[in-house]
Amino acid sequence: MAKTTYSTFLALFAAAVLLTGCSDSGTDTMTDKPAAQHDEAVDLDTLITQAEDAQSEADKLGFEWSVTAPLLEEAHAAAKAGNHEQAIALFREVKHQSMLAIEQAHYADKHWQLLIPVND
Amino acid sequence: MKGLTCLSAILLGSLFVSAPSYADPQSDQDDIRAFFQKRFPKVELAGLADGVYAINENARSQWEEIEEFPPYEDAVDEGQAFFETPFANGKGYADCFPNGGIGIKQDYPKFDTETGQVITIESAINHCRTSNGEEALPYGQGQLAYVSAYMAETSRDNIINVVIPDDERALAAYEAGKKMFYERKGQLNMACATCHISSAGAQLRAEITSPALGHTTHFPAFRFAWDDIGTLQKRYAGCNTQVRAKPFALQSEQYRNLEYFHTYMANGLPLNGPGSRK
Repeated sequence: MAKTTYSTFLALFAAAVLLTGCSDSGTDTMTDKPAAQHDEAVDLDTLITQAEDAQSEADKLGFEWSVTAPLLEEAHAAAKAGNHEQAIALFREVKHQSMLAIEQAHYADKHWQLLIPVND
Repeated sequence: MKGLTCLSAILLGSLFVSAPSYADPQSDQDDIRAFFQKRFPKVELAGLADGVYAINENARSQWEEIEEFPPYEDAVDEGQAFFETPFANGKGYADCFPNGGIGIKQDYPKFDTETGQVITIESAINHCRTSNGEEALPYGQGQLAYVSAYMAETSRDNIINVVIPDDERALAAYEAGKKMFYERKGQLNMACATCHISSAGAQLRAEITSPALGHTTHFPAFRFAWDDIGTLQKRYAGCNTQVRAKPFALQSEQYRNLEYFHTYMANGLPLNGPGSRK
């Protein structure tokens, strides 16, 4: 029993050390590469266009989710405040939600009759 | 000969590629009634006009007590006062509607063959105002909902009689409303039918989901959640928001078509609005 507890402790400790190492390494990589930040700035503009286009398409289909527009506002606010990483994450989420809504619209168009009650 | 063969092929093809085929509204209505009669065998069709209070005894006894001192009474009185107050040009609501606007709600929504649009009683109220030089009122609640509540009260016990005229545009509007009722929307991926057909009568957290046939009977309704009288389309927007779908504008074509289908399904049920609901 004591041996098992000791082994578990060692395994958890090793995992914690590995995770910390990975995390530090990630931070270093980001701070060491200003060029990457420049790329992300370019990507942000593209991402904004993609997210807004997708949202507009979902709206046009009548399937926009009510939670998407507030996220878009939040994303623009983050971008304006210079919070680049947060803005990217939020615009990605807007794009993702909108793509799902578009997919939902296409699915509904083909399969909306599935919920019509069938009487035996 | 070759020409004839081609013509035959075109004619044969046209059998398969033709105008969109619509279901028969009467058969839709029969199917939905049969479904609810099977789901709630102890409830008569007319009883479904009471909505959730037709299928749950506890909720019904609370509702009956509330109805002894109806929370919508003041709104109906105010609605009557607004209804009877002449517009600046001397005319009034009574001049815009058949029978002076009294006891006519059972005929709405209507399909207007001139405009090719579905007219709800609320859109007709605002049309009456604007065509008499008055400003349109905001939809959903407030003065317009009160006038509508008064008109509903004068129509109590009248039997819903929504007509779909022999006009392809009317059938298309009905079909669009039907599609909207059954299509899943929002982040929660739910349709109107998910709660009010498939799960009607089920416990949804602290609530019992109401059957779809008893909705259009009692609006405008006083909802305790609103602490006021509100219209059916305000509820549609609320339902859309609850499943995290962006709601349409009140009295948009989408909601008018939905109301057309939804009310047609309740044809034959007595009106009992304005009602009170949680």
